[in-house]
Amino acid sequence: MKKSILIAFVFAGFMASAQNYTRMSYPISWGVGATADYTSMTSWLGYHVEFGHQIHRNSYFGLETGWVTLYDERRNYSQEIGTTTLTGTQYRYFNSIPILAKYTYRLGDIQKDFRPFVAGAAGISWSERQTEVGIFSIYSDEWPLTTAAELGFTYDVGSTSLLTVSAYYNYQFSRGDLPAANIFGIRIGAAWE
Amino acid sequence: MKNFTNLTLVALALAFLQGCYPGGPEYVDDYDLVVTDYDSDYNFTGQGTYALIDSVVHLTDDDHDRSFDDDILARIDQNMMDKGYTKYDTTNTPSNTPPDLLVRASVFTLSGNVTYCDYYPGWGWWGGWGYWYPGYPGYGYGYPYCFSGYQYDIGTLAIDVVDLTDPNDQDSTLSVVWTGIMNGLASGRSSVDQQRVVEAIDQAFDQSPYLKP
Repeated sequence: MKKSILIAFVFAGFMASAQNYTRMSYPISWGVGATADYTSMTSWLGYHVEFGHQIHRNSYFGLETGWVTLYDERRNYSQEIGTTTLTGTQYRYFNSIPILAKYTYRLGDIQKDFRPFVAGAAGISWSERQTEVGIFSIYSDEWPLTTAAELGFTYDVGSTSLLTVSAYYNYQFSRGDLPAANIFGIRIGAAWE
Repeated sequence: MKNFTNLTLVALALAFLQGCYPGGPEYVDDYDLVVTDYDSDYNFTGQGTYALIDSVVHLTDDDHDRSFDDDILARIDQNMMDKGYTKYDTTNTPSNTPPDLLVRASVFTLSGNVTYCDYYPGWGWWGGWGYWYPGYPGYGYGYPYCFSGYQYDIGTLAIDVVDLTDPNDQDSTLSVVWTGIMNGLASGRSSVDQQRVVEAIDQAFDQSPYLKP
């Protein structure tokens, strides 16, 4: 897992260095629906990187990636697998590294400090789900198709730097053993033009 | 300069986040595990009497504490009777009316990954510990299910329930119809371990609602 995160970081760093806007954020995330049933705790772990080009006055096209870990503990939890029942403390992990093409539209006058934006994205994610209980581990990882939406604002803090705050939603389609996943969160970070 | 700044930020974020990866077991009892399995083709209804082998079988030569053995047997008895089973009276019951079920408890340690049902039959004959029913000398245990890849750890307790009413004469086996495995029950602190063993036995029976006469 850590190797994958490292690769994603290095990839993002190199790509970010070649574009005319770069954005980095810290996400706070939650599972939604069935994903929340699996991991209901607030995730304080992850990062978000985005880079791209301005393609029109208010339009931007780029790529985004990052990493989110959803985690939960269930003490004395019983799980049935066929005729087998396992009871113990479960440690549940859901890791996701999305790689998405993203379109962003910024509203408001280009001279304004405060500008809302909306964005949509699509691509794939590398996602893994791991449940550890006692000496058992139930693991699956896949590359599901992913769509995303984001709503937020930028605030100009000078020297081509922007404060960014947004709410985001990612939907990952089910693939193989990995069920569909819904992730909602907020991102706080900065962008440079 | 901007590129350098971006890469530096990424590196700092990596260093920070790598150290924050969440959770995982912290204490020895976080690894405690109770696993049960049963023969889905077996009809537990109507099988009302059981005999419990009167000693906990210590399968390996490890230094397992025997001071819990009486607690283990008493707790198994208590749970079986709570479920409505009647304990076989070895003194007053004629030997030609055997119990429906035989219960055996064993403790052992093995290293590495093994398959439970591959291991146990080789250990062989069940007779000879207290309760005596002479019907099936030389019979082994036959498991209709397996825990593949199970790793036995220090202080593993296994409870097997065997059907005595329908021996398989062709391959000389008695069908094991229920198994409870309680893993990780020896932290070295006797008072804590005793409580963990008792709670694990209770949990094994609690999570097996089909186990009733």
